[in-house]
Amino acid sequence: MRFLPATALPRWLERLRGDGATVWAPVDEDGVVVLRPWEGQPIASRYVNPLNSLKDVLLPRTETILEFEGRPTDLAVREPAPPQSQVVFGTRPCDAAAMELNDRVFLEGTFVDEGFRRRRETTTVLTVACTVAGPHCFCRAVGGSPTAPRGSDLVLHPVENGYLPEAPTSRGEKALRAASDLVEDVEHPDPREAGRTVAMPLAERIALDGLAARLRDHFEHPCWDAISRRCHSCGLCTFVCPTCYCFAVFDSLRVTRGRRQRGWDSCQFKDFLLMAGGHNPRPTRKHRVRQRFLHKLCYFPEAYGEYQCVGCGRCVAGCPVGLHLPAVVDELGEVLG
Amino acid sequence: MSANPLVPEVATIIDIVEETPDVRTFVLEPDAGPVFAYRPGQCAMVSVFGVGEAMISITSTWSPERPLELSVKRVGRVTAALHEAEPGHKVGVRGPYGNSFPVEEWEGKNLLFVGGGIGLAPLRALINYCLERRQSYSRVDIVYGARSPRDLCFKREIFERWPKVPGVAVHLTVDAADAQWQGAVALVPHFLERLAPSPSGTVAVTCGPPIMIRYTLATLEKLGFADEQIVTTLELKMQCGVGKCGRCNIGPRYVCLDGPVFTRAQLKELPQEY
Repeated sequence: MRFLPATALPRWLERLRGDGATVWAPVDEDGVVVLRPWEGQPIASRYVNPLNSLKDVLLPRTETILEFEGRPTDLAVREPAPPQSQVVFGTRPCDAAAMELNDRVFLEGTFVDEGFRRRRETTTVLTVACTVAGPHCFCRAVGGSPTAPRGSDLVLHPVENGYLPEAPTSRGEKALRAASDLVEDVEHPDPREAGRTVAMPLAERIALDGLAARLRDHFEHPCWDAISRRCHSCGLCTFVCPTCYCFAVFDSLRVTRGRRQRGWDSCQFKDFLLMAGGHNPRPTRKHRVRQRFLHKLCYFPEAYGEYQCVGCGRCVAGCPVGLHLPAVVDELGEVLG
Repeated sequence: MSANPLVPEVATIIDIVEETPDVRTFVLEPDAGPVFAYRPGQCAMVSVFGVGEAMISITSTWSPERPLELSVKRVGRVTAALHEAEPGHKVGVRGPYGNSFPVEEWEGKNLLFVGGGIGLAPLRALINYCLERRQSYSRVDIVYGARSPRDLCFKREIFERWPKVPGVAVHLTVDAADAQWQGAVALVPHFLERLAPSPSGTVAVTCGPPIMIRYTLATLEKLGFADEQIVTTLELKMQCGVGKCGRCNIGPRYVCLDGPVFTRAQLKELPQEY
């Protein structure tokens, strides 16, 4: 079995960066671990999950769709240069799986989302498997596991003093080739098995069986009033969620030149669906909170056969009023039986 | 054309028709190549560069040499900017988006169109499509109303062209008459109830403001139209038009992909959130 010593990690990432790719890695910024473009700074190793997810890499907060220049009668439109290749080190299995959920939305169907596709096809995901679960983790409740390879090009299983790499894709194998002289050969039991024994108390508490059908049948249930009452519509849950993908399109103009961009948006905002003329189909918090949970637990499964949640726990850690998916599933389970 | 569905083609406004004080029809020609092929009921995303985009139903009927026509009511930011534009100005256009009216399924049937205000825009595409294939359909009734006589759109068609086509009857009404108005004064749903068209072998298609649609659906039900015989179009805020931005869903359906055309039977399956 192949073994990559932890001490070889910076050299390996440096080589990947030398190939012209932007390398992202988890770095400690004043006690908070964040995925950042890596330029040789110390790489964090003690974290459950970075504050931000792969969404920052594959669906950037803002992205230019086009640039334009000219007068109203003589106008030129230009598209931005294609994105550079990227390598992301240190993402967790839940976040890697989240990108496969986003693949369903952006790559399937009549229209392919070109911005996402180009980034996806030029990004190599080097996942570090989890040996412990944090207090907010619940991947196992939604079909994931601390060592699952889904969505990863390479899974690095942490062992003493290094990693055991597993390459589910040829892109991952190629990235590993850059470390061929750093990799050693060792005897070790299958590291994937370790994922089974990771304790994950929160996952044990979540009961999703049959909930989708009950939610559909009780669309107008008064419990949504009670649940949504404590929401502040701050949108945090949607921004930290690796599977939430809603975006807005906006133009900017400076005299005769400007650009059109898209950027993250949130279904929790009052004006998300506000139309010119004043009509708003989801005018209250009840409408919007219900939309978020039904999208994750009913609509997405109806379209793609799985929940739109990977159990990363960011909404659990972040929501200022505890209105996160495990809590809401708990409440709904109690009310709807 | 760009590989990116969010990048529009640049088009030139070749003509602007003033329909009413707040509705103008923009006649557009793409700068590079012919207009994309589209079906009645489909929409296009039109953009004023530097202001933004809006989804507008296409009001023309497709043929290879015909320019694209979009009738736009001045309501919000983008539509106000469009109303400022002049012939020769460049805009962006992309599409076509959405499903369309199932015109093949309706062959041999009577058609009842019920429109209100700017709601006649998508119906105009459909009506002209059907009248270009007049022999494929049976009796055609067009019921149309607006706030006042000057708010009636497509005046040449509703007063001159359509009434002259054999087997076509145009029934006009206004909420409030002016000194010259000789016709009916009634809200569309009430007017429709008085006309009492027979549901037998008929498809009813209604477009208009939400409040008009709501009462028109009730009237049609009262007249004996089954849910499968009633077709309408929905409008929701959209940013992408291609099912990605996560905005225009009603339950599991996206208006930009699965709509805008729905039968009343289909709407009854969805959450009442539109």
